[in-house]
Amino acid sequence: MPFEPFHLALPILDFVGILSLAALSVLLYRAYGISGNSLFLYFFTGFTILGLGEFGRFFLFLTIIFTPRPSFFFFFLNHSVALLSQVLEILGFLVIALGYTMELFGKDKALASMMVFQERRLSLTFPMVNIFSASILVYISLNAFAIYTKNKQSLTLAPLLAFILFLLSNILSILAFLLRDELIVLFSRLVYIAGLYVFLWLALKVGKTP
Amino acid sequence: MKERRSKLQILADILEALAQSGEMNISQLLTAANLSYDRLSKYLSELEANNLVVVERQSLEVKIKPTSKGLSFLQEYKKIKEIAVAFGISL
Repeated sequence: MPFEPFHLALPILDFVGILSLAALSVLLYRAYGISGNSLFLYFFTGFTILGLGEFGRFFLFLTIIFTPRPSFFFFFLNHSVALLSQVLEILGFLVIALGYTMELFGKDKALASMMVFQERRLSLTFPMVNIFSASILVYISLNAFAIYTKNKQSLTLAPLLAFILFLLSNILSILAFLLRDELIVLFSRLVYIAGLYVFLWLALKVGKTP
Repeated sequence: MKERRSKLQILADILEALAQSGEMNISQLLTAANLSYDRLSKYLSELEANNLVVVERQSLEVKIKPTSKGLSFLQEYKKIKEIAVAFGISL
């Protein structure tokens, strides 16, 4: 796909997404500081790692847009950052999944499920990363849905919606890989960023609490 | 069945009652926070030690007021409660 001016919108949208993850992480850390509840620390760590991965992607967009001539270094850098971002994304989702498991099922079951996830992580290749991320996101979304059915509070719908959008984005990435369609890749990124914006809304809503 | 309040929730309930009325005496606070005298005394000592409330002991009466630190703690607590609800974390 040739460079189009609208491609510039992606890093800008991505940057706001990073800010929303940062705002959410700050709130979660403050919550941990006041309550001492370690579950907040899991969510804080997960969202911070996700934010770092997102920053990698933002950096990738910028280098793609602003590098005039591709070089070996550029190729090496992009591949390393892309892989690092995906690994960080998985790690972030794993920590968030661990937080949800601890809240719903208790510590022992959470640690046991982490062992299963870690074993599966050993055989990863690029499209597999998306499949793996999608499987963790199905798990996280189910947990977020269980939290919603338990509490019946509208605020619990925000993480549920965000994680469903992340899941949809990963499914679209797999589809883009199978169909070799760059437009779907772009669409997948936009859906992911929409998920980040749900967290931005949540952070703003909590920040405005009188 | 009514859920048991955590210590943090009780401290916030005490501060909320004080924030709403400005100041209270012990018996008003006992009713507002729905606590026994012993438990209220324990929590008040903790709040006082952390400069979240001021306990003014006048001849026969005791007046309890929230400090500005106590009010900002309460504001912070309300925010973290929202976050806790969103992620289903019990405080």
